[in-house]
Amino acid sequence: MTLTVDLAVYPLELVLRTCHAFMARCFVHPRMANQGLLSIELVARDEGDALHDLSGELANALLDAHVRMIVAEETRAIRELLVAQAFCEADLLDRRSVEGDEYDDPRGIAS
Amino acid sequence: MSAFGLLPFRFLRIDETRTLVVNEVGEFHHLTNEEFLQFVRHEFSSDSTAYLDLKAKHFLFDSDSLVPFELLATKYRTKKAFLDGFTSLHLFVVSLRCEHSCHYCQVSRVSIDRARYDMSGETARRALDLVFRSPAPRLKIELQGGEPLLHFERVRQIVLDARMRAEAENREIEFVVTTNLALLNDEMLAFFKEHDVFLSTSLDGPEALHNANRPRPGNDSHARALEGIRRVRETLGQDRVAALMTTTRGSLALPEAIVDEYARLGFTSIFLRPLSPYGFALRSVRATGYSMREFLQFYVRALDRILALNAGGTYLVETYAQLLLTRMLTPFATGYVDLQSPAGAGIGAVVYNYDGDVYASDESRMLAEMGDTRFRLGNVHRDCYESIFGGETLRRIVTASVAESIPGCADCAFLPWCGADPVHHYATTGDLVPRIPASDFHEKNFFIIRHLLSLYERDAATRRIFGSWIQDRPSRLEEVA
Repeated sequence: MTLTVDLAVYPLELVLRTCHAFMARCFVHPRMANQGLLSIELVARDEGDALHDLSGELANALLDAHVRMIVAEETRAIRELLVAQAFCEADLLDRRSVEGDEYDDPRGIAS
Repeated sequence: MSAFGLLPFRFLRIDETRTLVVNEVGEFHHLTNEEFLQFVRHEFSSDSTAYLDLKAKHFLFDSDSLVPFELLATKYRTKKAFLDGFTSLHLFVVSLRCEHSCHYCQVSRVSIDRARYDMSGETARRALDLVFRSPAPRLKIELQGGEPLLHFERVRQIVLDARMRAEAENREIEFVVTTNLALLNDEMLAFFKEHDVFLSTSLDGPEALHNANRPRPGNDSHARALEGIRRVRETLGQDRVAALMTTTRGSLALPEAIVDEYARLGFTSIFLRPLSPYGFALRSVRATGYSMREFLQFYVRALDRILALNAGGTYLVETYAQLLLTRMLTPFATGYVDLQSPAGAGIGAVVYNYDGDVYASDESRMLAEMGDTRFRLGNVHRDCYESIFGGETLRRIVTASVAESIPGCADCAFLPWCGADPVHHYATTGDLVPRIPASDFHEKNFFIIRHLLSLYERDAATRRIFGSWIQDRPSRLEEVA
């Protein structure tokens, strides 16, 4: 059973990460094909193992992995800030836009 | 539609129609697949119930307020509070001798007459020097074996010495003796009462199963354990003794009988534990072993029985479920070393062997008994605190056990509730970092967490039972019955 992946759609790292999750269920052989395509061959671990469902599962898993990548990129800065803030004695949050001093009125309360 | 930003989260497709989202601090919510798509595309309507739920649970933010970030940072710090204070649990192997010869024994016992396997007074004193170098404000010392009551002189010395040092330093300290209770006598009981010592024992289930698992001269392990439990309760109090069970092949067909035995004896908790791949357990795997799938089938049946007992008004907690539920349903850390990231080996708990060798965990010590000393941190006679607790061995263990950086764990929706066990991974695969898809550690935790989630969703009565477990409040069961 072989699945062909377009690397213009999915980055190679993401494809390999997704393949990793399937290694207990079958042998996974990724190979570069031509014109930016990656060929992933799934080989049964034992004779009689059904592979046709796994190919579809892998295709869907790639979609989910892509969503994970988008979410991770969108939230990376916040995640790093949260972890740093959690362990840091100092306050790392930038409060300039929400807290004023005697001269600033960032929320426009006085006006 | 509304303008909002995403806060960090992971997700899992629960079934054909629903997706589970879990944020960085373990709060979770179920969405329909359609809602999930709207959520990640920023197409949610701000007046929908799901939107408000996700906002309340810190999956999104829609103003310039810093409150969501402050709250998440505080919750994250609370979840990782087990790191605060460093090593608080110190285990002493006061003797490797034991008069039992259990097939699955994890402590690699030696026969009763070999006194050279006892901890010396000097080794105990030097180990206590290290214990009191720990910055932890609350210390727990667990005395184990072999069978520690075979070397009661050392138990007494350690408790008295540690109590004196704790008082001088104004530190809280508690003591646990892990014993089969077979050798318990009046002198020991009086000492335990005077020094407020908690006892932990082994009970594998009904008499026939227990005695088959735990052979000793006279084949009376079960009777002696029950007599010991009765005497401890009578002298120290009902709640001063707890029991642990180990699942063997013989246990697999008897989950209900094992649970009923714990309920019959008045225990309020039972810890359903699989065999560990160490010590004699590994050598006798053909006689006592089974697959993780078989264990999980056993676990589900046993948990069903436990829930039925609770629903009928008998308070009985399954300890592993309690640990996981506490991580899933509260902001708090649990302190259980294998459900932490990084793992607690060495930084949450440490073992002083009878000969003065220091190990990151009891499992590390068992590997050493099998000839692999990879996880030995040092020796109380030769090494200082800094080299033992700041050395390369412990740094390597901690680095390998950060689940956030383990392939397969990093993306897992259950990561905030789970952990890593590098010693187990090494013992089973030869590598500190697990191959998650093939890992029995992953198989166990992933299955049990999913099972607990489905039970939690099932009905209000189960949610109330779980609520009573995480609050450790039997009185809440009255709302169920």
